[in-house]
Amino acid sequence: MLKLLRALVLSTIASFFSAGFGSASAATIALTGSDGQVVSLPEPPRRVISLLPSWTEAVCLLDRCDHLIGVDRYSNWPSTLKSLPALGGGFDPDIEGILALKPDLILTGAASKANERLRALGLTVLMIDAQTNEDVHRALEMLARVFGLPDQIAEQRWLQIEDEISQAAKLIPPSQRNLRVYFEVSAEPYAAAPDSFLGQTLSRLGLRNIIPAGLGSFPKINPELVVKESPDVIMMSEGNLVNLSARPGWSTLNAVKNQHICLFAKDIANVIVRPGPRMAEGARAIVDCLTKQVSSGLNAAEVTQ
Amino acid sequence: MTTGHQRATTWYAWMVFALLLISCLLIAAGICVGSTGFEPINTFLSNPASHDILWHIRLPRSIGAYLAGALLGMTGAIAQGLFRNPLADPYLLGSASGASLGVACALMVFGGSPFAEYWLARLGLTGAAFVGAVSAVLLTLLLARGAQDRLKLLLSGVIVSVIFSAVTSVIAFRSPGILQALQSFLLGSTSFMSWASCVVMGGVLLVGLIASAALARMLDALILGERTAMSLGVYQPVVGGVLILIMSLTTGAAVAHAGLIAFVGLVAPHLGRSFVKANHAKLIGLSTLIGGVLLLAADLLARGLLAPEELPVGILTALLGGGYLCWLMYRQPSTRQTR
Repeated sequence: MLKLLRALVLSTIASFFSAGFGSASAATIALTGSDGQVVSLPEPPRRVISLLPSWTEAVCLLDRCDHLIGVDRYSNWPSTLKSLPALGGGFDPDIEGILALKPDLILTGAASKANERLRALGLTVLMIDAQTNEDVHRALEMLARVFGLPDQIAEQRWLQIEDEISQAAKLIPPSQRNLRVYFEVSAEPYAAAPDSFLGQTLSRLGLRNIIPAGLGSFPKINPELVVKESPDVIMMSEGNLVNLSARPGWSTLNAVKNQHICLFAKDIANVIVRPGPRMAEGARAIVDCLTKQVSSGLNAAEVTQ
Repeated sequence: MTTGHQRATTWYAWMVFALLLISCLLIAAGICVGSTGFEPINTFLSNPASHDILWHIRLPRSIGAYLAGALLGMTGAIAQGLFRNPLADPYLLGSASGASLGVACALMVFGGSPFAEYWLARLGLTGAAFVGAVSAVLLTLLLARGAQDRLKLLLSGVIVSVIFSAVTSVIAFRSPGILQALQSFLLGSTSFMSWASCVVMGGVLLVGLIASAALARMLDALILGERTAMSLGVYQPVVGGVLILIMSLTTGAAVAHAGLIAFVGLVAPHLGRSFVKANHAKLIGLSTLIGGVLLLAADLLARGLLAPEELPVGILTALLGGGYLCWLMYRQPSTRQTR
């Protein structure tokens, strides 16, 4: 009886260890997404679908662009991706098209019903949310692990982005440093707060954000705050420009009166508001605007229309 | 009299048969329409992905759309009978705003505490929407202190809807990151339906149909007024309470799986009433079938119109349903004059 018991215990231990070593030798890649879901990949994926432009760009930054077999309708960089099938948006993806492509991994940026459905169909979905520079850094590290790349590669790419942002910061004329900035992300208005990656870029460029910290990444603000703080420069996408001087109290703002408005063309604004590899490009666009001190060719008459 | 009754029954049987036939045809069409076109049908046997597309995506979503529409049609007929109001719809008692609040809370909590994530991962957005919808109706019942006073119920429904919508807006305001996901839920979509959704909705539909068949004669009596109903032995608070609980379940199941689908619950009973007058058993049956046919037909259009892109089906039902009601309103005065 004792022998039997011992044999049983030994065999259990043996099977436990063999299972442990077995999984180690198969080198399963285990990751936890931003939604707390654990994703395990038996090997680096070869067929990847990205449903967020930031992660499409990050995959390409890690030289794994050729592993992408489909992207969302907003992914537009690098231009070689144009030949890939567009599979709807992150919140309304083309489930059928995705399943037909048989992906090993799907990258998304937000919690949605679509993720639940894709998982229920047996597909592997990794959700990565990024609000700050550190999040982008971590996302690059995570994606490097996904593709079985050494950590140094992600670190190297990240340092490169950091370095480029620092280079951009050096290009700002001394007269423009410490300018007080208001960056409007959308016209409701939602602003870029210091806690967001965009706010962090602004402060890296030596600019002061008029939005106080602690309101979240992109808080909805009262336009009165802008009037009270009277920023030196207002930054926004061309698409947001709806008669700024008609907003109550805004016609007296120095930035509006002196045309200190950085209006970014839609494609450039897209680059600036994406947390990903092109953050440095976005930073350069901001610096360019400040250097030229012209509001992207806009004259006072247009602003006060 | 008897021949008239017989003729009505035969007519009803033919209607049901025709609607069932249309339903089957639409479900068959549903298997053929999708972003990848006809290809999965041609390669059904040879390609496992094609098999998955037809069996795990197109078929469950077609049947799911039909069931969601049927649930809404049935609930609409019950609501219009119970409240004696042709404008009553399934969302009358706050289930839509309850479901939105459930989804907003769930989206906000995602990425929050690990404990909340653990439960949420199991409940999912669908579960959260269902819990929200049912809670809102229960709160409405509680606020109206039961179902004895229909006016109070309607008012409570409005109050709960307003408050829940406001709380949803506060959550969306505090975490703007969830706005897009919330909006995609509000627009309504059938593209995320699975076999599990079909089983849940099918089960709830069956329960709803059995219960409403049992209570249909009481609804007929209630049409005559509460006193007359009482004299016929129908105790309104109990019947009303039971029917409202059923409505909360059926609407909750439909909303949780399909999002907010506008107008199906309002239009289906109206269409049904143009065939059957004061018989609720028949009306509820017809509304169920018509609701299913309407939503599935709208879903087919939503899938096919902009293929491979897809329109949220809620937009399409709102446009088509709103258009139908416009036409009805435009037509009605002239019909009355001719009479």
